Amino acid sequence: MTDQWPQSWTRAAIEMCVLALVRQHGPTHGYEIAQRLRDAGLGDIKGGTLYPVLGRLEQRGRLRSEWISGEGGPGRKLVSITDEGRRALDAVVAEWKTWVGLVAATVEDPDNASGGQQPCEAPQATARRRREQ
Amino acid sequence: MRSTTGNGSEEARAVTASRVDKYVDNLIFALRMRNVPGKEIGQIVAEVEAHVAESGEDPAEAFGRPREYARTWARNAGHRQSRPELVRSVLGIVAAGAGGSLLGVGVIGTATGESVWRLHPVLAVLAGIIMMASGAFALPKTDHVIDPRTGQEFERISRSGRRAMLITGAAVVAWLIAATVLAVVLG
Repeated sequence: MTDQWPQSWTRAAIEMCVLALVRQHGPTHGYEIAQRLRDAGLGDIKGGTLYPVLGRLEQRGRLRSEWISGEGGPGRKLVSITDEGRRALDAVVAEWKTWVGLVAATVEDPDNASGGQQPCEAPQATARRRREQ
Repeated sequence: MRSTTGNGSEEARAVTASRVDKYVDNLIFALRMRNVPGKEIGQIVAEVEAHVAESGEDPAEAFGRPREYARTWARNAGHRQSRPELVRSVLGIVAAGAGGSLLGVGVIGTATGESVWRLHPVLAVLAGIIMMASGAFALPKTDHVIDPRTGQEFERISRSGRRAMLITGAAVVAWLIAATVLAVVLG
């Protein structure tokens, strides 16, 4: 499997992934998040991409940050998720799953689909409900 | 053998440190040009320093060229100098420059005993000083780059700021001395 994904895909998913990683691992700092993204197979996210994302999330109140001094070093900034961030993450993940299901269903070749699998059933139902609202 | 390795790594660290310093200088300049607030600049710079200290990466490799990285941040919040602030900068600089010239002419007038535009030369000196001061006052307040780790201005920036102030002060004094000398010679 490749380790470098199209930039536009990364752009679409990175805020969600960062929020999820911060929620899972508690207060953490930028470099550690970059490592976890790489370990997750999401590719090598440069600092130039990551820190502006962290800044945006903080501006919108989804993360909060705190500087702690390091011994001799330049210190580090710890970020943690806020309640607002948790809510936003839950909401966006639900929608994202729907979207991914719809995309998968759209691109799947019906002749080639493995027998009995109907991956689009639930997402389509959700989408219909959303449209009716 | 061990000492060689020690020296080598120390040297490498020094090279990295100077490269980081240079990158940070350029980044601060680029962020300033895009009117990112000083407090935010401090955060951005501190993050760059912390990141490269931990990862050992080259700053340009990790963050891209300073100008491009600054552009990303400027887009993030959409900072632009507001119009009134721009007008104030221009007016302040013009007023301070005019006041300085009036001050110089006034000093020459005082030394030679000639009136300046039918004003008493001392009056011209006073008017020059007032114009310069009000021009400086009209300039938008400097927005300090605060290091989030210390809550104070970055050491290197405050040092270069002091240097700039010293140079400006020296230039003003030199201009006054030159004007006086010229006046004495002419008079």
